Amino acid sequence: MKNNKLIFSFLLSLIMVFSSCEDLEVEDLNAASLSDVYANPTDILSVVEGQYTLWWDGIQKNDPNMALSVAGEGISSSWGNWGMLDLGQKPRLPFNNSLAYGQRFILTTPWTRNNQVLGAIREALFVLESEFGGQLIDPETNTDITANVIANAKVLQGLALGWNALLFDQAYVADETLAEEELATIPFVPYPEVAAAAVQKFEEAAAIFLANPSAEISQVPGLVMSGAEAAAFCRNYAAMILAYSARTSEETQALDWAKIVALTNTPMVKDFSPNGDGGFSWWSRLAIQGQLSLWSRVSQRIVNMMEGGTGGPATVDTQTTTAPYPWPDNVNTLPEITNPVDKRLDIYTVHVNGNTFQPARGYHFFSNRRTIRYVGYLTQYTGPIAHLTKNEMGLIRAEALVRTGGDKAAAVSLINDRRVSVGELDAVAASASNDQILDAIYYEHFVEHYLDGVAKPWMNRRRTTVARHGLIPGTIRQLPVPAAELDLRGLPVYTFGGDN
Amino acid sequence: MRKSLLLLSLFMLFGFYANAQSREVKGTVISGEDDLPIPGVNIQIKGTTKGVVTDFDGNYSIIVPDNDAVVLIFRFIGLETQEISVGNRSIVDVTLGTDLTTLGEVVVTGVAAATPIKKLPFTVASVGEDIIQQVPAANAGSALAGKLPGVRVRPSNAPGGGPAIQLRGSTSIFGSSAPLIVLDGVLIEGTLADINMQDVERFEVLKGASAATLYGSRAANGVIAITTKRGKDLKVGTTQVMVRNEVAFENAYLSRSPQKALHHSFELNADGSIRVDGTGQGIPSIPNISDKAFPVYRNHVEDFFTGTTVLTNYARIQSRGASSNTMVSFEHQKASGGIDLHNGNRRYNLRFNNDQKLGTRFTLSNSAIFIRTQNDDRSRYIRTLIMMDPSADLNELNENGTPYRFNVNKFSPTSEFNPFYQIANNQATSVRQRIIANSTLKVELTESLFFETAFGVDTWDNNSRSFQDIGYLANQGEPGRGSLGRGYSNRLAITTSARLAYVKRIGDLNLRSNLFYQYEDNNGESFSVSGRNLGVQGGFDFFGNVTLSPEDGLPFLSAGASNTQQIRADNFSFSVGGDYQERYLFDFVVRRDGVSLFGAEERWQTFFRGSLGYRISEAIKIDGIDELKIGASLGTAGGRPGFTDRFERANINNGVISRPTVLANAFLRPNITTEFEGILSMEFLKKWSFNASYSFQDNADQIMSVPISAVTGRTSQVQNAGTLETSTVEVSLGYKAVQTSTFGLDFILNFDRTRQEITSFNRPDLPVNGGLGLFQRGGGVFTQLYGVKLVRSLADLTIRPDGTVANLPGGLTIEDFEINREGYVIRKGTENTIDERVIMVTDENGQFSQTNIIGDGQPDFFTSLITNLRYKKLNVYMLWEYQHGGDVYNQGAQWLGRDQLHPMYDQSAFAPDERKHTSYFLSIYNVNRYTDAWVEDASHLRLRELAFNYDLNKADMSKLGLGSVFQSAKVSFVARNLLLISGYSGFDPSTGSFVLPVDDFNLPLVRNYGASLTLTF
Repeated sequence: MKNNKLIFSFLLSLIMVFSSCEDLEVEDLNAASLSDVYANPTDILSVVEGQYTLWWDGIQKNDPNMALSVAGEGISSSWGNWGMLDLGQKPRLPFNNSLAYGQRFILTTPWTRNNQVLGAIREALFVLESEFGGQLIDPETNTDITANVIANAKVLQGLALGWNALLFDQAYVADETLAEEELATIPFVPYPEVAAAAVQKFEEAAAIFLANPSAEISQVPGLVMSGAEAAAFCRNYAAMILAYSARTSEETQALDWAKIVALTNTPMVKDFSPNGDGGFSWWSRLAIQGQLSLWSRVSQRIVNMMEGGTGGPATVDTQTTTAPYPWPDNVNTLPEITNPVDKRLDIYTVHVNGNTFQPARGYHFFSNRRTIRYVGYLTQYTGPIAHLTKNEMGLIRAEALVRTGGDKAAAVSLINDRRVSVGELDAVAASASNDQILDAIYYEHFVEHYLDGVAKPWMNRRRTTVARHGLIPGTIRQLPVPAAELDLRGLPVYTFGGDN
Repeated sequence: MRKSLLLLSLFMLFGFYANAQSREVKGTVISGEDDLPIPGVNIQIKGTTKGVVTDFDGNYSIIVPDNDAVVLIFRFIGLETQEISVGNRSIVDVTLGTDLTTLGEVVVTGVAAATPIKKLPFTVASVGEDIIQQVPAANAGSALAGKLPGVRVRPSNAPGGGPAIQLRGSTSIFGSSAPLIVLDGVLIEGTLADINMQDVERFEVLKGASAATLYGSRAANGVIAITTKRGKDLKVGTTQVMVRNEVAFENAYLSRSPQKALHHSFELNADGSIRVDGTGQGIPSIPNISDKAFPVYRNHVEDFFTGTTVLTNYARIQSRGASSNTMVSFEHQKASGGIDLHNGNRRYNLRFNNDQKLGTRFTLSNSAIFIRTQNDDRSRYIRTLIMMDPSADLNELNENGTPYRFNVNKFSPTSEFNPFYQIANNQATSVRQRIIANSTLKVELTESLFFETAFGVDTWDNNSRSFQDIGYLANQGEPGRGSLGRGYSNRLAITTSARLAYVKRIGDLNLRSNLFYQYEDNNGESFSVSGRNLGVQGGFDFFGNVTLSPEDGLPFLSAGASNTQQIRADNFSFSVGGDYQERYLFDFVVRRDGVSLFGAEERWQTFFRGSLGYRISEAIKIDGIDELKIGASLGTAGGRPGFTDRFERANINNGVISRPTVLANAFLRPNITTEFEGILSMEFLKKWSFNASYSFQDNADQIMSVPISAVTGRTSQVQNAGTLETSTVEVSLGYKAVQTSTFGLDFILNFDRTRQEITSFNRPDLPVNGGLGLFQRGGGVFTQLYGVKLVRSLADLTIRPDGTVANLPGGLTIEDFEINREGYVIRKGTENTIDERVIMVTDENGQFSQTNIIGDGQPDFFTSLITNLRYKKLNVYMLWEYQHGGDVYNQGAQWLGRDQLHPMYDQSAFAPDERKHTSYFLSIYNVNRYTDAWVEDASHLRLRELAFNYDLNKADMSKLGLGSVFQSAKVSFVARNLLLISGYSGFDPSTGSFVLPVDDFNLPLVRNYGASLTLTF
């Protein structure tokens, strides 16, 4: 009997132990697998459209936007966060392109994200061909979504390539024509070629939108576009990439401005200003910290300019007493400007008595003006976040018209749009010289768009042909490829900038 | 056919009994230790499986074959086993003496079967309740601090917080180095902060891989096994009730508060107050020098840390019967860490342990603990407290009369807010309920062969919630729109095992062997939901108060961190150990683990140990040497990857699929630690004990994220791509100086020294902790601190070939520089002027480097001293710790430098023409870049534990007229962290991580002193 109990217990124990055993192959229930992603045509569309958020994440949030906006004297801030102090210091320092640099995210964030977008699109388009024979049919609605997928894919290629061209001196151009095994050996391409590739992708997308009414851009919050509207957006965005890709005044003059005129012949229907989603995915650091007086102020250079000053990269303007440039040493605050020359100073900004910046980091960071133009955004982080507005595209077109000897009347009407109605400044006459008109164009860029999109003042100052609007000497004009990527490729690390 | 077999069986059975002649043998078994009868003694007829156990009075009766050859085996744990020939006797009384073969202390962790420490060829450290219960720690994890060499424990200063524990340095470059915890046989998955100390009887610590091989792929970090009381030590038939109450006062170590500048640099109003601009910021004086007295100077740390009371109530019932023993306990603990405004942590523990003999061969052991903890999750806002303007009144009211005014800081009015306001206007709590249970059935198959199955579980659920009302002002920018959050997580970790053990003495050979199988199933789920932009003000903490987004008409809700995990493992092991002629020691282990966390191609991994020892004192008699042993071991153990590491994950957010950016790795293996350990163990002159060990660990196949070229669109892959080598020397010296009935004095001195180096790192250089750590492709010292170096000698300047100095622009030469009062190189002639600045070490382009070695987080060595002084009934216990060397990065002090609050700014003591401008000191602050100026020596001496215990026995209680109620009593005065002596300028240099210690407004060191009364019924 006892033996039976023994055997029974023994068996019971073994059953208890071994019955609990299960297969060691477990699934990750928190995410899909790659095979899941490419199993369904609508999922391929989802992957493609999901890249809009990634692209936004790569440029519009912390990096490189904040540091470059300070370097380009759009906003001013001497806090160390996001590299603002490092890139705003005087004299300018070479960019610290090293693996250990604490602010390396200025480089790595846009580089990584834009290339991720390109990788995802390349793979999705490759699968479209290899697995679905080049045609995607939504299994639920039985509709053909091929054009929608390809059009959005090309827009995203344009955005990612375009921003790599705007930011970096060289980048990869890797699309679906490359096989996986070729990737490890493709070389970096200089930025003009990257920009040209971006323009080409946008133009291809525009053609698809025009030919396929069902194709639409629908994953940018608040901006559903299709058909001609989407095509116009693509071509205007391409024009912006082309115009802003110039690093110097010489390169600006050498640009194919006729192409820009052609791309902007049909204006955008609406501002490309995605709606903030409450701070989840679609938000802008520049629209938040750029409007908080603790964090930043409008650059004194812009204030000086709006008060009719002459401050420039190498020009000290102490004559404009209401807004001297650079900010004078040992002065903590200046009197409030009561009757600004450009009335937009009181509409877009407000006087703050005092500065929260530390004098020891340089008085050149000081300013009394806080931006309030998009102050409603601060409440809930909702509403439009200006990225590329019709007004800005108008300024680009105006410049193209002037530079190509085109319709100057049309050009000045684009310039005078807000200059006169809001700023209450004298209208720029069509009879004015090209230099005067170009000066007015850049003036408008700085007043209207220093808080829009990504590093607009920095790009406009590096490319301007108007000397007084240029970058401070030594300011980095383009970003090097991140040291981490160069290390992986076995290439020497290099950098730009510096005034030493 | 079946009927025939049955008949045959019955016939054989009948035949067996029909041929047997039997008779009864009776007797009593008593203990040689105290001459008392022993219930529960196993009595077995040798060569058969037949046996009985003694009853409550030690009596037995057994039917034996009626022949002279019958031998009875008497076995009882802790006493000698006797084999007695019955002969023709019908009464056999037996006295079982102390089991001398156990050679004293026995360990059960990491070995095939219970093994005397003296016969172990490798290190298994242990601590018993004689030490750990002197000053009971807040939880079982913290109790080991300072007790053993090579064991580093950093208790949390937050009530309810778990300690950080590391055994023999880090084993992992990126992963956790926390050891595996085994509580009464259950593999613990959750925090040790939940486990109360009063129940603990003993710790056994397997510090290295060679000792811990039996735990396979979970043991690279070592193992700590905790055993709780079970009532086994009571006399049979007795029940003991013990009640202990401790009341302690605890508070931050106020006298070690960071010093701040006693003067400031702002303009003054006529009344001497600081003049502010429109932002509430003090207006910088010109020249900007900190030499103005504050109108008032407050100690905010004292305002905030007013001290709180810690209550620990504990009750325990233990009982032992003839065939069972039971322990039931309850503990309640409440602590607030010295902050009256904070609710801290409240914990309840309820434990039930029981061992039950079932017949002669079965023993069923059950252990279970239920835990409930309630925690105040609000931040303690140490940063804003320390960064406060010394003239601010934290109790100042808002304009509407409500407490507290949020912006009282004139140094940083819009970022460093009033901590009183912050703590009063946030809500955050969490509640965790947890059960840890184990059930083990042990079956004695023969006298040498045992079978055991066990089922263990560690399960908990955790609920958290947080709320901030509309209008919260301590924000940068607009008043808050209100937010709320809920979080939930659960975990169920089940372990089942089966073990077949064979323990036998064969001639001169003692053999212990063990065949083991274990299955692990560990799964859990967590998610959180938060809402923002509330609609109605007034404390409406529910989701209905979340408004709708004008963007999409949906509530401002986000679901974060939804996570489901499933981990499974099948583990097998075979171990054999023992000794030959009491002097040749050996131990061999093979373990094979199949774990779902490993890549599909590397699912099964093998671990091994080989260990040999020699007890010299058994072979050679040396005067004065009581015991001398040497041993050497080589063993492996592993560390598992994280759940997501091997997967290619396409995340889905807001209904949109992302392409995976991390490559899957089907070849992902555990990191493997191979340890060589050599030991020397000695007892001499009857009073001394000496244990020394040297350990070298090769922690290979480190699991890490390796970046991939961006052209692929991928970011990285988790790979086995590095090696970390660790060497540790440990020494422990014990001295029982005096041992008389009235006076006792003993010491234990521990020493350890660890060095760690990365020898292989197959990925690009990786800055960690914001660059304070740097793991380089070429390898390097693991614990080194990196950052900016300030130029302190002219030789540190970078001179270009043309003779100009690269560190500053302007074509300067070395003659243009000099060394200033603080020992920094500055531009000549700028000292005490507005242009004075420190200079960073740069390259030839003037580019400063952040990769200079500026310190090392690894101490030169640790020592601890445990002393126990007994005079009659008074016992005085102390635990001292000393750390020599090692650096800590004082980031809190650096932040004080940002706001001109660091004492270096204060120039009031200097003559007016020798006062320095704030701009100079700001250059030392250096924009919060890790800079050598902020590295401090972490050497310190600490009196971690002090106790005065006075014991009252039964006679004493009778004298007090309480003898009829109480058996004994103990009155204790205990103190924790009573004294810390250190040159460090913050609260405690022993802070932050073990590898890269950073004090970034970490919680202050908490001191605690109180009294306890223990009554035993």
